[in-house]
Amino acid sequence: MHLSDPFVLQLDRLSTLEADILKFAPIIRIVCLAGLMTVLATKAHAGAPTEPVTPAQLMTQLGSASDAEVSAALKQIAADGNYHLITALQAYQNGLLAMRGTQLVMYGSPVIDPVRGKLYPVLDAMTGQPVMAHGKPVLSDSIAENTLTVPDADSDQLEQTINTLSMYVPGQSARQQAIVALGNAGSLAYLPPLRQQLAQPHSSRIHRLLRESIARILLRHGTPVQKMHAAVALGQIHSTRGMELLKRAWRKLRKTPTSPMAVAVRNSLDQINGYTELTNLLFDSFAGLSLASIYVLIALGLAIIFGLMGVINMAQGEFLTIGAFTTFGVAEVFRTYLPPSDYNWYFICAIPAAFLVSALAGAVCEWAIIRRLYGRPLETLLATFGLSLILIELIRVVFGNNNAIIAPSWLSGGLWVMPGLIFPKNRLFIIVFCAGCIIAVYALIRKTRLGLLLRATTQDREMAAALGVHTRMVDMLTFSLGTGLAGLAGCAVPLFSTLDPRMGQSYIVESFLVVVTGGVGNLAGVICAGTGLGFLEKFIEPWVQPVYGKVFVLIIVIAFLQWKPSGLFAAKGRSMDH
Amino acid sequence: MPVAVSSDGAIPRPPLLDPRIKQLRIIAVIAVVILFYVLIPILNSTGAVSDLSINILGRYLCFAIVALGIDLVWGYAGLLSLCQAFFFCVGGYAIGMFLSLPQGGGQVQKAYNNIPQFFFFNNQSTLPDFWKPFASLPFTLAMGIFIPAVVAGIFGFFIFRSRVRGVYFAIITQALAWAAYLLFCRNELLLGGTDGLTNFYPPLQHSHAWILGLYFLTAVVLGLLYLALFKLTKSRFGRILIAIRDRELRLHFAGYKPYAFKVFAFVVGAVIAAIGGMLYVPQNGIITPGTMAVESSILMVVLVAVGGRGRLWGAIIGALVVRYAYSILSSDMPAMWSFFEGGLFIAVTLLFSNGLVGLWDELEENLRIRDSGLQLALSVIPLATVMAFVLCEALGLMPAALQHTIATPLTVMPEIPIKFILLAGILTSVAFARWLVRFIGRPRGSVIAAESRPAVEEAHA
Repeated sequence: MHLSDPFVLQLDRLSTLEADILKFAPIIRIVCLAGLMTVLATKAHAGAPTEPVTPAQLMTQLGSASDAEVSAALKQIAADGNYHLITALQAYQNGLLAMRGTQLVMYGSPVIDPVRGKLYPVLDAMTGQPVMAHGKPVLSDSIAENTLTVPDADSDQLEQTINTLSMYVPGQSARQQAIVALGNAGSLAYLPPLRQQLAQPHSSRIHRLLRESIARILLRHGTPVQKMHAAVALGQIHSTRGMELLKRAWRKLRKTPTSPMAVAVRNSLDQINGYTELTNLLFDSFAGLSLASIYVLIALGLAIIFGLMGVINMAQGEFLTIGAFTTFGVAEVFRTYLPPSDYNWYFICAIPAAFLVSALAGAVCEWAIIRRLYGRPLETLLATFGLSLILIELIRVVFGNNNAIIAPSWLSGGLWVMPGLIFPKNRLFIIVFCAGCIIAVYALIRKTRLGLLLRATTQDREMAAALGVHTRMVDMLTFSLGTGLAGLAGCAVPLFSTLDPRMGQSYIVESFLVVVTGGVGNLAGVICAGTGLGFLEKFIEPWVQPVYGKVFVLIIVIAFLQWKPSGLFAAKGRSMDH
Repeated sequence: MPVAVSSDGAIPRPPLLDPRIKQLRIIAVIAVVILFYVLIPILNSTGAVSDLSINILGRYLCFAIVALGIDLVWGYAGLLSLCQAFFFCVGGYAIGMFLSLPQGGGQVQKAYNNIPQFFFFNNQSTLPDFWKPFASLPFTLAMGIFIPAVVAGIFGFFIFRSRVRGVYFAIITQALAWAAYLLFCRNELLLGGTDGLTNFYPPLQHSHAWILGLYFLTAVVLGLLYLALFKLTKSRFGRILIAIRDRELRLHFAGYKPYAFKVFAFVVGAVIAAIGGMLYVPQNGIITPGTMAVESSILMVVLVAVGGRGRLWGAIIGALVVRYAYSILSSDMPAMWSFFEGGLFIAVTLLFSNGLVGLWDELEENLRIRDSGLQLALSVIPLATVMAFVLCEALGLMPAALQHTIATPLTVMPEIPIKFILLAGILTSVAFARWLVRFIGRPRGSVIAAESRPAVEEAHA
């Protein structure tokens, strides 16, 4: 206990943790060096002063008949932290490690040869490279009998060695996973390497995980004092992974709720619960916002089309699908004709492409069908529904049923906000993207000449026509703008789901609800309603199941319409006059 | 014939019927009654028409019943309801529950406690309480009508009272249908989840007596409902509905409360749809939530759009024609149905917004003004061709020569049966001839007809 358990240093807030660790780090390191042989020391000086043992020698020692020798070798390998040996050790665990003369080899995963059947490639245990004979890799018909078997007494030690080594694998996420895995395994044997790691300068996230794993191990196996410190520490770092252990401890202590240990556990549980609620709330808001973004993008197009022309565009969802499949097409072109390094840029090209293709498709539909139905909104509903059926079938004929594209690497993964809260980057992008589109639409409608004509035609079609506005052309451009916006929304959809010709249908009903709730006269209404409904749905979902959430949203919308029959912002266009 | 309110608000007296038209109508009515109530049952008993055809026809008559309700709600009152399939399914589920239970002849097994098997997949080993009363047929029938009536009443009251109308109403009803669909797909509702209710009494679809009996029952219910709605629409109430469709605001100013009439019409439409559902499920043998998907409600509306709005018999004809088109196309050319369906939606709204009723009106009009044989033929031929085609298909009497197929280079439909080519050929050439006649510019004495036609185009938000 000379290390005095750095993880139980009583710290009030997380943010001061790193500072304190760094403050104590030099002392700890000195203590470490004095107490133990550290990994870095052995590695840096290519052999300790007492006994120079190479990794290869240690591995060969595994073939020894004596259990104790094997055990010692495994311990030394763990202490060395030579993560390159993981593959060989796993092979050893699976009985695929063998001596081939003096060389230590392992058998790789089998390949099928048309003549000789199943063949096992023979790999060098130390490097993982194929063993060559006569310039060709050696393939073995079967796994030789002289494989090294793990002594029963040492199988635990082997498991521990592999787990410990995986903590040294470079790369943040691999290391994090390994540390969590050690905590999950919860064996006292992992304490020394974890503490050793804690003494190293690491990022704050790794430090937190190390502290968490150490505390979880100690809470299980430590002395009463250690257990208490561990419970306090788990509460301090808001460890959700330690929750189960703490709950278990609480169940044992329930009879003596005033004992110091019980108080500590209870406090920690409360701390973690409070923190989890906070992160859940933040994540739900985030998820609600990203869902709302998609709704708003589709509903914005719907509202523009309905507000100006009184056309109910049931095919709006299919223009979203068109946008999504355009993105797919662009990605395919990039994959086929450009070097893989440029693949990530397809998304940038897909955004304007999706807009243009859907807008063009919209213009064609407007010219062929919609303009013949002005003034008959219920019939546009039927006609555009027919249009949507045809578009779905066309897309199915051209692209087939299920397609998926790989999101660009700069949009995969998540943005780490705080412990236990990660915002997926693709969702984050959708929110930003939607905000950008809203600003662009506002600018277009408020600041440009086209926007002026559009507003004039919406307010009074006859007067605008009398003053020389080519209202038919404005109609067409507006319809294209609306469908183009749906295409932009479609561009974002492949980031989080697969592409299916019918995917537009799943958004259309809710987008219509957004339009009805928001009212069609004002785009702000659509934005408010879309955000509101998105949030509502995501916030209800944790309480009831998603389906009931949707039913609940419908009831709320109906109740809302009792209060404001024409939506949040009443329409001002002539087409809405009764 | 519904009467449009003329511009001065007075209700014009219906013009006296031309004797020829009267004769035509009487012949048509007698022909239809004999065909459906006498000829088809006889043909079935002699074996000329298979039980399967009768079963299919019976099911399609159920859709005709739903279409009647939609015509009342949409064609007369101008309310485009996109949740009729939901009401249809409520009725269907009610009768389905009765038929699933041993009291209704459902196939239950002792190994499953003599209750429908799906309960066991939902970890339920006893009959839930709300299922128990459905062992009685009168209760089931009452509930099948009562539940949709209450749902439509409450929903309609809140919607119409807040003056949600036109497309807003359509969207809200669509959302209702969608929410209901999602709900019925859930297992914890204990209605079979996405698999629905099935394993009914087998003779319902297999024994000759049951099939013919159910068909006859459906046909009789359809006839009675038609007569009742005919009375209703001819009454003062029916005129108020038309007024709501055409000039709601004026009716409001005249001291009426339009929402009360709308709620009533909506409830009647819902109940009729539920009756259709109750007759449909025993003949279909299964009811799943898929039947109430958003799309199927819209398809039901199209039945009326094709037949012609604002005319009850148009709804029936439309239902039969579209359903048969669906069954023929989806069995002969599965890949083409979606294109055809979509095209039908667009064509109905774009090209002939008066539906098949419009063709008949034209026929009557040509008769009245004693137009030339050519004009008469041009309105009779498409109507007669479509009817003959549908009837031949329905009764399985299509000549074998027309069943042959011709190969095409298209991947989506490698071959087309000759009958479709023939049908399309006749319709296209008639359409072309009509266009040609109009192009030549014959004066058409149809001013009165145009005025007395329902002003459906104005039924908007």
